[in-house]
Amino acid sequence: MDAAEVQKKVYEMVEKMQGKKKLKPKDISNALEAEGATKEEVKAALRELIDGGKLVYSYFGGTAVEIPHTEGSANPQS
Amino acid sequence: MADKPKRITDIGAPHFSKFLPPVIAKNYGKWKYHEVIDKGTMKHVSETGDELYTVRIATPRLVSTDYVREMCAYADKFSGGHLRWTTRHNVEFFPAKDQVEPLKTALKKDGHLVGGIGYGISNVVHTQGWIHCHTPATDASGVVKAVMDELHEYFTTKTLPARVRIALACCLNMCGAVHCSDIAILGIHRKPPKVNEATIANQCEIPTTIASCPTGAIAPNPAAKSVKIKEERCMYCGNCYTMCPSLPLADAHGDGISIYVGGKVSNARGVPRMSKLAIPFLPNNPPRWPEVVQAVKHIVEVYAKDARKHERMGEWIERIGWERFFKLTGIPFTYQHIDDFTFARDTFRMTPTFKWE
Amino acid sequence: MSKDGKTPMLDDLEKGAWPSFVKEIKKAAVKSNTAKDLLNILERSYRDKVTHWKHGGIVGVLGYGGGVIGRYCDLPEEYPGVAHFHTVRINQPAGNYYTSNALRELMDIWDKYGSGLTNMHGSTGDLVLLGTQTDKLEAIFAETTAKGWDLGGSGSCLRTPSCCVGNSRCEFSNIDSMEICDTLTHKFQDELHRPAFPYKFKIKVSGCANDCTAAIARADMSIIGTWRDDIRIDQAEVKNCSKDMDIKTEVCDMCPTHCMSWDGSTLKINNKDCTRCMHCINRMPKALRPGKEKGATIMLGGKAPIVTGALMSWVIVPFMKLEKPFDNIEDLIRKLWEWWDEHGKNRERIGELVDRMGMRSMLESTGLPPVPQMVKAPRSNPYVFWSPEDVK
Ligand code: HEM
Ligand code: HEM
Ligand code: HEM
Ligand code: SF4
Ligand code: SF4
Ligand code: SF4
Ligand code: SF4
Repeated sequence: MDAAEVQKKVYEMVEKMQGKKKLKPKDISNALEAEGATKEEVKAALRELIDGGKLVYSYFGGTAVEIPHTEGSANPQS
Repeated sequence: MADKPKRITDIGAPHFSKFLPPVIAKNYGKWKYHEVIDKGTMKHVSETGDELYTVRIATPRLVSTDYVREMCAYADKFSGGHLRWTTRHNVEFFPAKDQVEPLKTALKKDGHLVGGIGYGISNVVHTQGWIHCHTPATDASGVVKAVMDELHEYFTTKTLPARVRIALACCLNMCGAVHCSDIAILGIHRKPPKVNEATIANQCEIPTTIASCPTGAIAPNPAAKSVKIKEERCMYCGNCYTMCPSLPLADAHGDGISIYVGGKVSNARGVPRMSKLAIPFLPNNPPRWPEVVQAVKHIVEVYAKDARKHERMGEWIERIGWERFFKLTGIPFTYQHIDDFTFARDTFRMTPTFKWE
Repeated sequence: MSKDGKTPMLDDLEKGAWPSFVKEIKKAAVKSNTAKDLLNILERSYRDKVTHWKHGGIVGVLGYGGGVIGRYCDLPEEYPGVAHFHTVRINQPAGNYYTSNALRELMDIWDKYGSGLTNMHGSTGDLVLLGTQTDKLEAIFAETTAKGWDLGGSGSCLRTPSCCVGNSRCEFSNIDSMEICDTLTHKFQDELHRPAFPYKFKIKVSGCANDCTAAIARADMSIIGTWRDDIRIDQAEVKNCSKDMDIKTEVCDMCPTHCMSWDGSTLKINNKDCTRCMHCINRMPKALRPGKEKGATIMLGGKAPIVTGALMSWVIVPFMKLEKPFDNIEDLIRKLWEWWDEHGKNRERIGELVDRMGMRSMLESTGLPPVPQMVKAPRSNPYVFWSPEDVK
């Protein structure tokens, strides 16, 4: 799969699940491997998106990948 | 953007060779033997004949940058600018032979406790507590301070039959891995999280919150855009509060401290073993936690009186039997002492051979 | 905080012989509002008997999945200085040796951007800088990396490896624990900073069975130095020792394998029976030394209780020579990670996976042969699983 396409798919997958399920790098990799991408391609796409700030790692007991947003704890008035 | 400096990443820790005192760099891997000179001083002798002196002091673990600078100043004056921290939060200096006494005198004059080597109580490995963590059932630094104010002589002068390692973790996540200590002080919660109905809809993602519970104790409450806790399933791990700040676990009355004893990590003589429950619950009474201090002190004193030389707490208890441990310490035996979790059966006595007390 | 900013409960902890963390917070509070409000909110916790921190899960530096622990307080209006109170984990140098110059550089950076409070060190081993705000993190990262330091691990990744002093100051050491720790840290930078594992993985290295890093209790992979040949005895020194101790009761009788004897002039060890527990060597370091054929026992699976109960590591390789560049241990670790990655569930530590899948699955996938050193005893239950190949 071409690198831009993998990145697009990764991003869309995270976007779709945001707030519903914390996706681990492994979940993303499994899903895209099923669509024909390789492990290495997914890893490279994740790294590109994360180094570019479009996605971030989060940690709530386990590590997940999310779109940057303000989390509940950082949000005093609600 | 173009002239932004390139970010440096993935360089790892600096190599330790930058920091070694010359005598260590020269004799690396050539040490022949060591002598414990007193509770705060060791001498290591190399095959080359070189000698290395080590002087150790206790730190409070949580320190200011000025404290670190003070340590640096001792290092500059007495130790060639070199120092190290031990895994139990002590600081060590490496003075030349003729600087050992001047260094110790200076340290003691400034109120530092020199000691921690050999058979006694070294510094207490502990976690963050109310200083920094979100799931503690007690404070860490304060309890340690209160306990060691009472027991500090075992650090500086008094000896015990063997090493007594004390550790504290402020919840059962046990960042400090206290479960193999001679005496483990463990913060425990006894009540499930409370749902803050006013904030949960705004602060929390309901599906990920439900998924965060390792025991499946959280059920959706769609009508209220909230969740329900199945209380009998909760084992107070705090995972849900990590995910969702509207499920606070802390409770002034429910939270407190339990004491586990008899663990060790060293393989000397007997194999490593986990600490086992001695006291299921003691209340949080800041700032000095008198019940906890008394309990720890009492266990140390009973051990000191009854154990044989070189016998760690756990080896002593195994020799006399838990029946007698409870008798000697006067600690009551309760339902909570009998395991009912995953490895419970291994702890039941499958023989009619036991002691009456 | 009581309205007047007084902290009577904490003040009480300035008294007493043991070094006081309250004094330290107060020292930092002279320079930092963050430290000042830490003192105030801690006094509040002492009164309320509950914590006032919330977990922050999305703070960090660009590109890394760990090294920063997010914290927010639940009363930001009352304690604005600690509205954010994030922690930065700096990867400690192996053995925790420092020079005063290097430490002062770090402390200067921390005074500039943080509370001026630190834990030397955290439980995993990192040098922990305690209390800063989200918008300072990139600057802290840039300045510390410029001085040659990097962040440690947090999250579902390799956590910062740690080790005992080993060869640098301990005659008992059978492996170069500091060099192994440093080498593995550098080989595994990607695994340390970009979490991709089912859960955390810890590596600790102890030079002998005294296990000063508590590797067996606290690490998924515990590397413990040992030897294969005979304990070296200096009989003259044994005689010397006998002046200050009763060698029979304090050494021979406490040997767990009863493989030693002392007739008042010669110490004999039946080395075939010795299990290398270190007791006799600890008692007589001048007279006894580990053998010369040195290496390590590799153990797997140690962890704290969450979720199914605490585990201690068990033997998977009885003896492995560990010499630079340590490719053999790297190779084994990578194979274990592959197996864990393939089968592990979310938040399942590798020891729990062995529990669930059985040792055989792990051994087959890493190519390790079954040997009696791995078990205390063979099974007693007859529910043996046979695979078709076994029965052929
Ligand atoms: C007499 C010989 C011994 C010497 C020279 C010695 C030396 C040391 C040193 C240098 C450390 C600090 C390691 C570090 O910070 O990385 C240490 C720590 C430790 N030692 Fe030993 N040790 C000896 C015997 C033992 C024995 C017999 C035990 C257990 C029964 C033991 C248990 C520990 C433990 C649990 C630690 C970690 C905690 C700490 O830093 O105090 N040691 N030891
Ligand atoms: C008393 C009852 C239960 C106990 C003690 C229990 C215990 C556990 C434990 C310890 C785990 C973690 C496993 C791991 O981390 O590898 C787990 C995971 C899980 N449990 Fe339960 N469980 C219980 C009931 C249930 C029930 C009733 C359900 C479903 C209706 C359930 C669904 C799950 C699922 C889906 C996971 C996997 C979660 C994941 O992979 O993240 N459990 N359970
Ligand atoms: C290789 C596996 C085993 C073999 C070949 C085996 C064989 C036997 C035999 C031949 C008897 C005598 C039966 C009789 O007198 O009628 C017996 C009794 C018994 N076995 Fe096993 N056994 C095995 C494993 C176990 C295990 C794993 C346990 C329990 C942990 C166990 C518990 C018992 C008990 C309690 C009895 C006495 C039963 C009674 O007298 O009512 N056995 N076994
Ligand atoms: S032991 Fe528990 S409460 Fe204490 S610092 Fe660790 S996770 Fe937090
Ligand atoms: S504290 Fe732990 S066990 Fe209890 S509801 Fe929360 S996640 Fe579940
Ligand atoms: S583990 Fe062994 S080799 Fe390492 S410092 Fe401790 S006693 Fe020495
Ligand atoms: S090392 Fe342990 S088992 Fe070996 S001879 Fe010494 S005391 Fe005995």
